Amino acid sequence: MAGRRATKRKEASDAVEQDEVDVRAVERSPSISSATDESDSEDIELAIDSGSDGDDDRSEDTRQIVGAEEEDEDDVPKRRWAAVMDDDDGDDEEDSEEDDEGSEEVEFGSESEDEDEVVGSEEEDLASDSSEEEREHVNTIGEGIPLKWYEHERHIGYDVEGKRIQKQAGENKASTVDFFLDKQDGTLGSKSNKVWDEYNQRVVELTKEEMRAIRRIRKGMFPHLSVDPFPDLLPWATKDKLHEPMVDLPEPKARFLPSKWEAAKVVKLVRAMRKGWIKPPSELERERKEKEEEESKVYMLWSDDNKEASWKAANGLSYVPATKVKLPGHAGSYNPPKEYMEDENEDDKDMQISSKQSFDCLRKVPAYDRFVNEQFERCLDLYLCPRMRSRKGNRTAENLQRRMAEQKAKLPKPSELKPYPRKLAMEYEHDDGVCVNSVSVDPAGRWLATGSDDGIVRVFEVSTTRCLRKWILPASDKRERKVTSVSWCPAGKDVLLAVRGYQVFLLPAMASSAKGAEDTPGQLLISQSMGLLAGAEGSPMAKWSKATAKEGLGGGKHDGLCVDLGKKATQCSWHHKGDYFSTVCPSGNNMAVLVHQLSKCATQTPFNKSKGNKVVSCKFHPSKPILFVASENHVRAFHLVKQELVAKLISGSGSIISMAIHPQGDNIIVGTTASRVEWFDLDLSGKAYKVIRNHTNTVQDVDFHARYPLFASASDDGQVHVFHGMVYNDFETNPLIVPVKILKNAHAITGHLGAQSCCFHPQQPWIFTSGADGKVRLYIN
Amino acid sequence: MVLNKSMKQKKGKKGSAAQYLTRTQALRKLQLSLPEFRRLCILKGIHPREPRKKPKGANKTYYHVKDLAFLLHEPLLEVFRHIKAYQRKVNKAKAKQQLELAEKLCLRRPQYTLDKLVRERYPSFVDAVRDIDDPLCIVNLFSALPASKGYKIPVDSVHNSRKLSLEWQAYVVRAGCLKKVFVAVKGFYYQAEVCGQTVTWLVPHERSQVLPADVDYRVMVTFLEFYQTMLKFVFFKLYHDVNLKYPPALDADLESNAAGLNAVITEGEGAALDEEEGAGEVAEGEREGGLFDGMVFFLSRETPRESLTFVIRSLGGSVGWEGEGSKYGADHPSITHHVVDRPKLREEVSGREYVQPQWVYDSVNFGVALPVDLYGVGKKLPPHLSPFVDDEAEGYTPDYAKFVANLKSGEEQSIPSMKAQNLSKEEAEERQEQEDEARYRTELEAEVSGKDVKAVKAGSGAGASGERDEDDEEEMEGMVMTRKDRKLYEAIQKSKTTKRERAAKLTERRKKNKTRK
Repeated sequence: MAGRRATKRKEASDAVEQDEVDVRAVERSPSISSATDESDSEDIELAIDSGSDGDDDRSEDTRQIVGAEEEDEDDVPKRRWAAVMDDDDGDDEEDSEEDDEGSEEVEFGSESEDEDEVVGSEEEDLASDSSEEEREHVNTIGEGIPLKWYEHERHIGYDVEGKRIQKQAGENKASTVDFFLDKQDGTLGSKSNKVWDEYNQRVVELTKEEMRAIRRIRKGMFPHLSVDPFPDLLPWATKDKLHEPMVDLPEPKARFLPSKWEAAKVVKLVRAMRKGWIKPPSELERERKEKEEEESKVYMLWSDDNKEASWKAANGLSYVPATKVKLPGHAGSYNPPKEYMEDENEDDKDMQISSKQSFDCLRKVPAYDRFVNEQFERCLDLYLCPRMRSRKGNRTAENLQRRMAEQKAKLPKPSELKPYPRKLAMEYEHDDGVCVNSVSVDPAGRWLATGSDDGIVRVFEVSTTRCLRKWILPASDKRERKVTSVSWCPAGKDVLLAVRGYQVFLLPAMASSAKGAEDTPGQLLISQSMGLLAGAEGSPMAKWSKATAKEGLGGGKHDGLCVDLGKKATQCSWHHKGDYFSTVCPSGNNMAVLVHQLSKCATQTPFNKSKGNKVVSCKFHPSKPILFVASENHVRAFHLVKQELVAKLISGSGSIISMAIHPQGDNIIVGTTASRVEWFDLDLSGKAYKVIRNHTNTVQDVDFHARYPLFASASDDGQVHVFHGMVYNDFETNPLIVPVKILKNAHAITGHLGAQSCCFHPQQPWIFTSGADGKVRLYIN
Repeated sequence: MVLNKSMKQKKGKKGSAAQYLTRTQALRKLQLSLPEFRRLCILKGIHPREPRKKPKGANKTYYHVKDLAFLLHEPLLEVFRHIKAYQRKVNKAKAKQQLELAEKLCLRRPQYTLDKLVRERYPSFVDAVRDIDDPLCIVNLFSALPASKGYKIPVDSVHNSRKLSLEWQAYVVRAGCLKKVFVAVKGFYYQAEVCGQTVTWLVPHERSQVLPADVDYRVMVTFLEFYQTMLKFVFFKLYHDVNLKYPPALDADLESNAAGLNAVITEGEGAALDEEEGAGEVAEGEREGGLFDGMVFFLSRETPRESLTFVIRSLGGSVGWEGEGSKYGADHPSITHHVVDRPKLREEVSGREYVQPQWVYDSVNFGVALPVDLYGVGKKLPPHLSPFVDDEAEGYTPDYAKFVANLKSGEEQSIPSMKAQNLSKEEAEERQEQEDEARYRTELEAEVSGKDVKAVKAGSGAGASGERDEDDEEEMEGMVMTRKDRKLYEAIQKSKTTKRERAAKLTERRKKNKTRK
């Protein structure tokens, strides 16, 4: 087809080549040879109508459309229009030959006819061409000049001689109007293909070819029918061997020798196929399926099962199974009980599960939107969280209970450790609510002395709770009224040591002002010392003087001794022989601890330097010349004869408040502000042998029993605890400490203070306690 | 001097420093990237451990050197390296547009199986059953998830998950070991007793799941990969133990109709078994002695069919549903219970009970067929209680649990009187509680003032004081304990008190609710 077309075209071109003009005609407007249909001509009429209204711009447009194809050469249009004008009639006969444009692409075969026609029409054109020069009123202004410029001029353009060409206004106007009117009247005929040429001021009749070209242009097609926008590619080299070769070179070797590379490749492939490396796709598929089946095969993995769960992983480490997810409680239900629904601010996590949703029936429950997230978090936990076996041997509750039971079995039961104080027996009356700071029992166990905040030292009969004496200490100055410490002389004499403020008083505790009463041994002792007082030199640190104390009950006055320490004293204690006694003034630096001798009315300072920060308590060793000094954090034992430090004990918790020495002297207990009682064994180490965390508040006082293996602690939480504290004489067994009795609510807590002091009966397993609530109680076994 | 130097301990040669490596050190040692290491850890079940001393700081995770050696000698590690290298080949071929080659290479990618790992991680079968909770949860989750290319959830693993979850259900039905069911907001909790181990798993509600974007699905898919293998072998053993063939066949017709559990055909394995009971009957014949023996349930289409079918069949009931493949039509005469979850019914068929789904679950949990009229159509349901709570230990028993307990003990005969009596009983209990409180208060007062009383009549209180001593003993035990023990002891005491407080709060709230009514 293509070949045929090409040859045809060639023939056509050959034919045209004879005349140059002809060729041009073919090139220029080869397709304008067909007639138009009626409808088509109407279309164009309309378009051109608007142009002919006198509106210049529009007319220009039409002109441009019409002349779109001939822009390249200036002189062509004139000629063309002339040609068009000339062959006005004689085209009509050709109507029948033409088809509509729909079939025009198909009909390449009819092209030759068209072209023949074109040739014919061109001949006519040529004839008209010669008459063109004779035309007078041809516009000479040129293409580029807009007509508008000449709108108000009388001439239009210039002729060859440079004269103005006058507009033939009247004529022209008339002809314009005529044309318009003719058109309106229909005298031109509906088939009319005449248009008004504004440029040349004349009526132009379009040929059928031109009309067709216009139509095609308006449809966006090439104006010429024979232009083929997508021609078939003409192969310039064919597979047909030319008889005479184009290039006369010898054939390269590769053309006729088999390729070595290919041969190698083939060998490779063949070998691969033989060896089964390359398989046909069907076999591959089969193999793949087999493999998959093999993989998905299930078999008995645990055939020789030993039923026991193992706790060892394959690598020898202990296997720690992940903790299981916590299961939901009632609150997690889709329809929980009502009481689980109404937590406003529930701090319990378990209750918050699924944020208190409730649905009255199952169909209303939506998907849980955090489901995937929660499972993902669980996955993360499984591989990211360090796992540790909770030490079941030590930590679980059952185990603890078991161990507690064991311990209980090992330790003697409190009931086996009787006697110890268990029952409240007596209460010793004080004026209401006065804080009793200190209690002391006389060595025979008959009398009880108490020192209280109102500055009165009372003496009771233990067995009857009767108050026998009420010593009102002489008011030297009013700086301090509280009696902070009382201590009965251990030597069997009724000398009572009482500390109040800056002064320490020595009172003849049982002195009676009744008639016929003899002087008590205490009175004798005191009067004996008083005799020395006159001669003795007042030592610089303590002033010994005579003091007269009023006895509140009997109404008499008795002489006592007063030692003014110059600093506030807090505590006093006797040497076991009853001649020496020590006092403590916490703020006294090197004078904090003073040792006084009653028989000589003398005072000495055992230390040149301050021993420890803020001395709290000071006690004599029950048999050796050793002085224990308790400061805030340490207990120091000084050998008074050798003048050296024997032991230094360190308290692990809080600051020391109170101290007691075991009757054998090798064990010490201290009470601390951190609510602990610490037991020190001097034979063991400087650290506490046992720390007992029993109280909930400061331990105010501790005491050892002189005979029974008992000790007690009194604390600000209002409780007094009694312990069995057995010290063995062999050096192998450590002391045995067993709590035996909690005296609960021994004292009411008044103003942060509870039990203030405790003191064992010297012979019986009884204990006296005093408290801030103004009560002194005796507990018996 | 030289001797001294050599005897001196070097740092990092002993103790925690030598026993544990941080994760970064571990990665360097194993020459792995973090995702590879993660994958390997998940498959091998290696987790960080908590050393006593943390030589590189407290903010690091530590792995035991033995764990890492275990990973280092894992043959799978080599396979993974091969796969990685192989993937590079494939990528290269694709980049060069050699698609045929790439396809061919894809087919020959190195494969691996995980059954060795299962055996290694769970040397005995009981171990595997003990750890089966998480696999079941994940598998059930994935069987409800959509496969997604973007999130790399492969289609076949979703299908496989679905299959596994059905197989598990079929086993539980067959073995009849379902113990508890709980419908929570999160989903259905099931608890079964398998090989002496309690297995609890969570199944999401039958609603469409949305894939959240803040989840790393690669991690979950890795877990799923291992879990699928593990479950496969565990199921094999379980099925084998009850003389069933594994894997069970799936009825294609029923499966296409989404019949779920009903599509699973469990078959006997040997001919010997067939003599006792026909293979066909094995599928149908449920275990004797279930709660729902002889009952035929019909499920309306608004009820959660899969869950109900599973539960009912586990307890010996038969199930029909609306749709293809159901053995019982909606008007089948043998239906005894009709499970409905809609506010109203247009017409009721006589001769069957209409219940809401919760009736089934509650009956399973309480182990008794509860009175049907409490769960009638459109009625306000009694609360759904968690079967996982030990009310005794918690110290608070909800009303409904008490009610059912009474019901079970057979004190009440007729249902209308039951409620009234139950209420009166509650009142009696409350009265009792009040009395107790009053007594306690008087005792307390006596205790406060007791000292004086005793002091006055010391002799008479001997017995009482003996008691008191025993009370004290408990307290005194605390004194001599070591600090660690005491902390534990205190924690125990504290947990007890919080429990008590919570119970009190709940009781109070319940009372308030009652008065409001």
